[in-house]
Amino acid sequence: MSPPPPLRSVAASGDGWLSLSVSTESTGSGESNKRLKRGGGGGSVEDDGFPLHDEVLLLVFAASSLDLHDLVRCTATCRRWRRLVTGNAEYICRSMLPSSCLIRDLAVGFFHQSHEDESSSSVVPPRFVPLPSASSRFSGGDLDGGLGHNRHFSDSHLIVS
Amino acid sequence: MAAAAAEATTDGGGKMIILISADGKRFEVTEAVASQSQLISNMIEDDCTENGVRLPNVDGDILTMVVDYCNMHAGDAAAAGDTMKASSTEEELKKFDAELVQALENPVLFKLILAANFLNIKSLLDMTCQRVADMMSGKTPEQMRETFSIENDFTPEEEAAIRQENAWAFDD
Repeated sequence: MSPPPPLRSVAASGDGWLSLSVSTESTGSGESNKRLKRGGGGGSVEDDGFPLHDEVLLLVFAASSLDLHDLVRCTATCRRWRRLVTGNAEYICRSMLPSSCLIRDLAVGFFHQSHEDESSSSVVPPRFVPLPSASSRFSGGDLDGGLGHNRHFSDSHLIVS
Repeated sequence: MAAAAAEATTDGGGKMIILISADGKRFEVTEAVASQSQLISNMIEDDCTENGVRLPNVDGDILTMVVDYCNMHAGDAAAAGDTMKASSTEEELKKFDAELVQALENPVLFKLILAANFLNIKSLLDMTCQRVADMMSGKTPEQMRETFSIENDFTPEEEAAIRQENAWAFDD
């Protein structure tokens, strides 16, 4: 009886954090059959003329064939797409493969800490290793100096912009 | 032996369910086929499919595709242990799926996505959303608007600002 938790519950439920992004379009009457109306294909969902409603469009944005460049260009397409991509970046990123362009492009570097020996208690402080993308993304920016190379952290962190 | 087992599985689906599209077309499918839709699967559990399942927001032509898809994929779930069946259909399934979405015009594709979402058929929804994403991939905002008939509701200033802000994504 209890509904199985779907991997991507956004497809199944209008509840949770997604309801925020969907709520703006509930201008019509009858909350209960909102879905039916939207699924009918006839009525316009929002004024951009694109027939897919927010929660489905998010599934599209999260599909693996879109890289970071594509997503950014999506934000320049229309207001609704911009709202969806910028407002749900975390969801979209999370469903991407770790090896995808998104992660690679966003990473500006990583902290590296070498352990001479597993049991050794003396550890070398972590070093920040910038990736080539760091210079291209922050070229000329004041962040260049801010990314201190000798900051000490206890763990490794992936640094994203 | 194998043949008997296969037959038992097909017949083992047992009860038939009638799906009724928005325009009144009726589709008779086995429970095994229909329950790939989480929506209908829940209805089956709740015992409310006896008088047919009305789907007032799915047109007959779309439901035809959905039923074809479910018939094709019924083997996945039903005959997971049946190696002979599984191996012979894997290739066919991929081919069938590819052909199903490749040929669709945008409006039909979107209707199919909405139907998959409504009926909650995850694999079909994923596949169709993937198809739309493939169409977005590599396109400029202008091309996307053109492809999907999207109205540009940015002011020229806003659009210029967005482009400037993310210039790295536009220079290619």
